[in-house]
Amino acid sequence: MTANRCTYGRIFILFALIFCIIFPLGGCSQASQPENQAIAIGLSVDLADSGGLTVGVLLPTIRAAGQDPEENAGSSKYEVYCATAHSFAEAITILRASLPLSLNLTQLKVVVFSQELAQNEDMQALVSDMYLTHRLYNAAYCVVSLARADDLLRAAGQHYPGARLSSAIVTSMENYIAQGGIPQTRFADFYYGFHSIYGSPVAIFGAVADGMHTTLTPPGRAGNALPGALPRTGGSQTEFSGTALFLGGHMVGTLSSLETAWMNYLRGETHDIAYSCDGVNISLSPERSVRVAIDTQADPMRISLRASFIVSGKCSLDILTSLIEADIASLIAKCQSLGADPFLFSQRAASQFPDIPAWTRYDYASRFPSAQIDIHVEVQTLTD
Amino acid sequence: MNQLPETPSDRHAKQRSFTLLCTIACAVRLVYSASVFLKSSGTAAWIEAGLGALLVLPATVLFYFSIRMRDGIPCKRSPALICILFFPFFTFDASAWIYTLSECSSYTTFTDTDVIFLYLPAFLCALLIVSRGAYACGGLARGTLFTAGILLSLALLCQISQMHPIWLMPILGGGAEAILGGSIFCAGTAALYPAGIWLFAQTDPAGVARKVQAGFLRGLLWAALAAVLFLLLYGMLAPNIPDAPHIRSFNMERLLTGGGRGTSVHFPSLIGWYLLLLLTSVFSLFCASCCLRLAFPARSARFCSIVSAIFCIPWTPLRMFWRKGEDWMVFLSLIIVSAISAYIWICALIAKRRKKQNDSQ
Repeated sequence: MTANRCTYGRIFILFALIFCIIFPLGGCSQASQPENQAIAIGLSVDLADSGGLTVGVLLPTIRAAGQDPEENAGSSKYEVYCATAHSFAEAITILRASLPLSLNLTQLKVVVFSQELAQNEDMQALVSDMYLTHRLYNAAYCVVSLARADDLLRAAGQHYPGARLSSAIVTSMENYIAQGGIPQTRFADFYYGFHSIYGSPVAIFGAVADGMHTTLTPPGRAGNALPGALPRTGGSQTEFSGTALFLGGHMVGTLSSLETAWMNYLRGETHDIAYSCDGVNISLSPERSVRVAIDTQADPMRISLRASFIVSGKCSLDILTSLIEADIASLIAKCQSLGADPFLFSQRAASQFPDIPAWTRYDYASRFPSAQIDIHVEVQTLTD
Repeated sequence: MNQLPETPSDRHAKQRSFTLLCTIACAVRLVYSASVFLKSSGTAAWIEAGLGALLVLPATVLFYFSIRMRDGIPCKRSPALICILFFPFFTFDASAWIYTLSECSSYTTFTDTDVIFLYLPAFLCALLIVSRGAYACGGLARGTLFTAGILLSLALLCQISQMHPIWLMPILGGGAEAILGGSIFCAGTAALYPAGIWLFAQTDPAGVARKVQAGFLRGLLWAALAAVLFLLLYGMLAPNIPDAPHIRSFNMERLLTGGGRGTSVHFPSLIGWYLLLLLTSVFSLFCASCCLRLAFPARSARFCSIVSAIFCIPWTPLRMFWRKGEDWMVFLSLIIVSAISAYIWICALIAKRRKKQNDSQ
C-alpha cells in the first residue's frame, strides 16, 4: 500500500513537472519572441486635420547589406509609423493591424504631444486613455512639441550620432535635467498631475529647429529663449528646453529654460543654475533646498521663500540677489496669473491639514493666484 | 529510503516554520489589501494596515488562548464542521493569490499570453510545494524571508533619494471613515492568519510547544510592523492622487514602470514580489489541505492537497469577473473567523472548567 502511494506520488510529480514545462512553452511562438517584435522607442500624438488623432510610433528598422549604400550592413535606422483614428485606442489598433510585427509599447522612452493637442480640452481624457493602455510604458519622458509631434519624433530618430537611440534619448534628457532646463516629468507623473488635488502637471517643452532663427537673445537672458527659436546651427534638429504648464486638463502656458531652472529649484531640486550677472557668466549652487513656509490661516494666503546660493564667479552680490529675487517673483507672478502651481507649494500646504476632505474644502486652487509671496535670497561666494 | 521517526524537536521546528510562513503571508496580505484593493487608502494606507492588524488581534488572542487552554488536547467537537466552514475561504484565497501572481506575470512578459496559461504553472508550483508537506512550506518561508527580504530592501534602498516624506501628508488620508473601511478590508484578508495557525495546531496538538504559542502573537506583530514600514516607505515613493486611487496603489505596473523608477530596481522587486505571492498562495492552499485532513482524517495529506487544489479552480472566474464578490468574501472571512475564534475559545473554557471539576472530584 505504501509502495503504491509512493509510486502514485512520483507519477503525480512527473505529470505536474511536464505541465509546468508545457504551459510556459505555449507562449513562445515565433512572432512573440522579443527580437521579432516592433518595439517602439517613441510615441507621438497629434490632432489630425480631420478632427481625430494621429498616433505615431518610432521604430528601429534593420537594413540589410546593399539596401542603403550609406549605411553599414545590419545597422539600424528609425522610422515613424502613423495611424489616424477617432481615438487613441483605435489608432493603436490600426497600427497593430498595419505593422507586420507585433507592436510593443513596453520600452517607450519618450511620449510626445503636439502643442495644438495639449491646448485642446480633450487632453485629459486622452492622457487617461493612454495611461490605461495595456503595457504602455509609463516612465517614458513626457514632451509637448511646439509643432507636430511626429516631426519631433522623426527628428529625434535621425541625429544621435554614434549612439543607440533608446539610450541616447534617456541620456540627453538626463543631461537637460542636470542643467535644470527641463522638468523631470515622466508620463506617469504627467497623468498623476491631471488627477492630483495638489497641483497641476508640467511637461518638457520641445521643438524641431528649422535653422532659420538668428535673432540674438537680450544680453544675459540667453536662458529665456524658447525651443525652436534658439539662434544656433548644428546636426541635431531637436531642442528640448523649457516647460509646458497645464491647468484644468489642458496646456495654458510655457516657461523658458531659465524659468524652468527656477521652477525646479522651487520644487525642491538642487541642481546648479547657469546664470548671468553684470555680463559675467556665473554658476549658482543651491546651498540647500528652498525653505517654504505657507501660512494657510492668513487671508490672503502667505507663501514665504528662503533661498540661499553659493556663487562661483565674480559679480556684485547685491545686484545678483536683487536679480534672483526679481526672477523668482516674476516667475511666480506669471504662474499666479495663469492659475497654475507647478512649484508643488500645494503639497507643502496640504501637510497642514489633517485629512484630504479638509484640504479639499480649503480650495487652494482659488487662493493661490492671490497669495502673497515673500522672497528672501541669500547669496555668498565660495570664499565667504 | 527509510524515514526517521519525527522527534518532538522536529515537530517544533515544523511548527516554527509554519508560523513563519503564516507571518509572511499575513504581512503580504496587509500590504496588498491596504494598497491594491482599497479605493480610499490615500496617504493613510500604512494606518489602515496597522489598524487592520489590530482588528485581527482579538481573533488571534482567542485562538491563542483556546490552544493554550487545551494544552495539547485536540478540540473534539470542532474540526469537521469548522474545517468545512473554513475550507471555501482558504480555497478562494489560494485561487485569488495565484491569479494575482499570474496577472503580475502577464504584465511583465513580452507576449500576450493568456492569463490562464500563466495561472496554471503558478498553481501547479504551489500544489507541488503543498503536497510535499509542512517542511516544504516552512522551507519556502525561510528561503523567501531571506531572498525576498534582501531583494525588496535593496530595491527600496536604491530609491531612498527619491523618497518624499511630504507625500505621506495629509496624515489621515481620506479621513477617519475611509480609514475604518480600509482597515476592515485589511483585517478581512489577514483574518486567515490566526485561522491557519489554529488549523495546523489541530493537526498535531501534541507538537504545539509553548514557544510556538508565543510566536503566534508575535507573528502578527511582526507582520503588522513589516507591512506598516513597507507602506510608509512606498508611500514616500508614489505621489498621492485620491481622485485616481487605483494608480496610487501598490501594483505591479506602478512598481515596474510608474513614476520614473530606475530599471535596475525592477528585477529584484519582481523576484521578491513573485516569491511573496507564491508563498501567500502556498499558505492558503496548505491551510485548505489541513481543513480536509481534519475533516477526513482517513485521507492522506497529499490526497487532501490535490483535492483542495481542484476546489480552488471554480473560484477563479469569481476573481476574474466579479471583483465585488471578492470584497464580500474578504468581509465574510473576517466575520466567520472572528465568530469561530469566539466559539472555540468558549468551548476551550468550558472544557477546562470541566477538567478542573473532574480533577477536584
